[in-house]
Amino acid sequence: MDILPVLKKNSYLTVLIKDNYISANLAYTDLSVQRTYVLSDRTDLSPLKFRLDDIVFNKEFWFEYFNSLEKVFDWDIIDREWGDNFKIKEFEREEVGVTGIKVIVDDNQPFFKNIFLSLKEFSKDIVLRILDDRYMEVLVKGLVNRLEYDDIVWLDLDFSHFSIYRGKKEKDGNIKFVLTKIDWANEIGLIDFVKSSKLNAFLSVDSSSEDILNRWANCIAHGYEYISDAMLNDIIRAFTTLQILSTKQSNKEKFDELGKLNTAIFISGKIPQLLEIRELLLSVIDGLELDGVFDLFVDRESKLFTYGRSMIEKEESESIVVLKGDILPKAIKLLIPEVPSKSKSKIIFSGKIYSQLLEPHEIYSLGSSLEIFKLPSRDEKLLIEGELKNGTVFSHLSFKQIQYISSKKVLEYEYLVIDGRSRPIVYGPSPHDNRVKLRIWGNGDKE
Amino acid sequence: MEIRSRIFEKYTNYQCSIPLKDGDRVLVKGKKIKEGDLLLEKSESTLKKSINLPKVLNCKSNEGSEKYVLKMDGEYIEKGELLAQKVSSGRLNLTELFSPVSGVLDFSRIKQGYIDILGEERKSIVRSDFTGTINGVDPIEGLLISTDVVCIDGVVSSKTEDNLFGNLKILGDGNTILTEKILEDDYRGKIVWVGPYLYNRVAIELFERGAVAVLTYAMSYTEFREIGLPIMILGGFGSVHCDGSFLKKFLSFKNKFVIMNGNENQLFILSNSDFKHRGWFVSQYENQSVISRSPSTYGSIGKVLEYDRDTSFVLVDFGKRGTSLIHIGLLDFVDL
Repeated sequence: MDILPVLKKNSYLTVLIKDNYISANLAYTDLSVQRTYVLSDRTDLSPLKFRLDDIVFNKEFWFEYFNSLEKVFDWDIIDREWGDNFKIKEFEREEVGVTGIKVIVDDNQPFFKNIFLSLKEFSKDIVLRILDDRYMEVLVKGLVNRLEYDDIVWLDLDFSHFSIYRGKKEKDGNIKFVLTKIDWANEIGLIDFVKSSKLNAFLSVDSSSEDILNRWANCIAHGYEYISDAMLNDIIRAFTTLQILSTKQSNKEKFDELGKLNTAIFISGKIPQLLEIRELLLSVIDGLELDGVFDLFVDRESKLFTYGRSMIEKEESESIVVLKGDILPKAIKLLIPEVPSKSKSKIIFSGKIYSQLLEPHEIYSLGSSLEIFKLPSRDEKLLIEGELKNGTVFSHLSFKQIQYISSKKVLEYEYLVIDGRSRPIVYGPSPHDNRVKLRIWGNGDKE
Repeated sequence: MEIRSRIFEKYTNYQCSIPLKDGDRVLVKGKKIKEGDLLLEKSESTLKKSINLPKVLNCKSNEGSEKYVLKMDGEYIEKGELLAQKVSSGRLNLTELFSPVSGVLDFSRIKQGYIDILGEERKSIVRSDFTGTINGVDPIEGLLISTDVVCIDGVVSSKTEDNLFGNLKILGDGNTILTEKILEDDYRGKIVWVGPYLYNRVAIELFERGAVAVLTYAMSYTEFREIGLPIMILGGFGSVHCDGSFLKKFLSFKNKFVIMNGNENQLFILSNSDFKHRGWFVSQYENQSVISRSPSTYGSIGKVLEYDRDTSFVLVDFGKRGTSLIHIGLLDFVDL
């Protein structure tokens, strides 16, 4: 018996070139037996530096790339009967062939033109697309509808480019899209920025020291992929907070009523790869001056960039039908209530995590701190319930009780975060003051 | 996946030009050129004095000090004659520069802020130390050639409008941090490797003595920003270890012709090489060469002993510097 085309086995490779990374995601679906997954790989292009516009960066590079990718994914991608001409191996079954390859190149990627042309020369089989503002508009608007949020804010955070996109459902049902950006023209300006008094107000280390300047300069010049240095971590946190805050303050109209509707925040780019979860949360919450209830997604594997549009288009997708659970990163439930001054050191939230495998687990949160609860990941489903206590309320929401379900393959939550710090959040004036505040705000995470 | 960074990249038939100065005579016969062939007859004059114009006239880095010069390139000037004049503070302040010696003015380094005063002229013969093809002689570009080159990426360099050309001069043994006391009198036509670390005052002295550009492995970021002269840094900022395995190969290019491209942070050495590059992508981590970006071992080159996929930590053998456990994100795979 024939099966519906949508249920047929399929696999597709989408490659994103952005922020000097090649992110490859190979999606496989066999909906007839509910077997779906996405294989991911990231390759840093930074070692190539300025050779990206030289003759050594040519179609042989791409041949070698796909050749190596085959080994990483343990999946046949290249049809070797064509020798040096790159042809896609037609899809046969799991681990053999793909129905197509799409390469998306970000228009902010250094040497965009050279990369694009080298791919064009490399193979006519590959579908080439450009990641630009229009691409993001379609993606953000589509996500508002597909994920049933009323408001989506997407922060794309790279050292040289900070972009914020927002899609908000209007009363007439249309989705209004706005965007705002900060671009650094060169690395030198970006390195020098660490000396600015504005940034200093957010730092908990003193940036005037020669050592810090050298470390920051090395970090920018070499494009680190991991930070083991507490000073650098602090600079990146402060830099991210200030960049987001400056963007918000100079574009107030684009951020009106943020958090008053059912809102999700998506984060992508290089900075979320470097910062620890606590530092990333502090940067985003304080940069956007959030209060209310949010779902937060960190797209570390660029799955939303590569398959977000397929997820939105569902069975009408030109590449492959993918499931929400395979594409959406694990979410963070973010609760930011208004804490009365009398409850600064009292319990402001108490709740329970109900799991299928474990006994119900009680949780509570104190005022003045940002508490992060890691949710158990073994269960298919979790129920999280809780209530604000001791006069704590959401400033523009009428409810005090929270109840939500974390479900694998649909919408899985990794963390519950309760920000009980008193508003407004004030940094500075000195790095020493910030050190004290950060210590109070981080008085222990719960797992 | 990880890309293997090629520290020394081989470019075949790279097209470049050797700049010609007034009085230079091309001696090349035919299109092909090999090592030892006559290349140029250069007319050079002794350097009597170099003057750093922005420093003397107290100019800002972006002010363009050449507009205050009252003489022309190639003009003869007497000792005590007025060379440049800057009026500032609403014509209330006057800064004058008088020539400290008699000689011929040379403005070939004026974009870097230097005026050279030259003495008597002498002729010298330049022989080729590379194999290549002569593509022509251009009055603006100079001697156009195509040859095999070795490319080294810099971490950062002062932005220069043009490519800088010179002979690679190694100071001392190339591996010792030096002070200005050991410097010779004349570095004209030289791109100077000062060793693993560069101090500001050494760089200034080198430019005062005619150096085209200065190369180093590391220097302070603050000093790099202050100096505003053509410098390329190959390693990083601050106290960065310059590994012996890099240095050994680099120093083998002593006295070769080099081109410094400040816009793309690349250094091209006109030299044949027998490098056999491995593939771009690292298929297996064990036994691969890596350079550390971890604060405690920054710049050290070692070999991977073990890789733990679950934690992403790598055990690296740095030879005499011992072994270290480092996150893979703080290692760059290198092809040396």
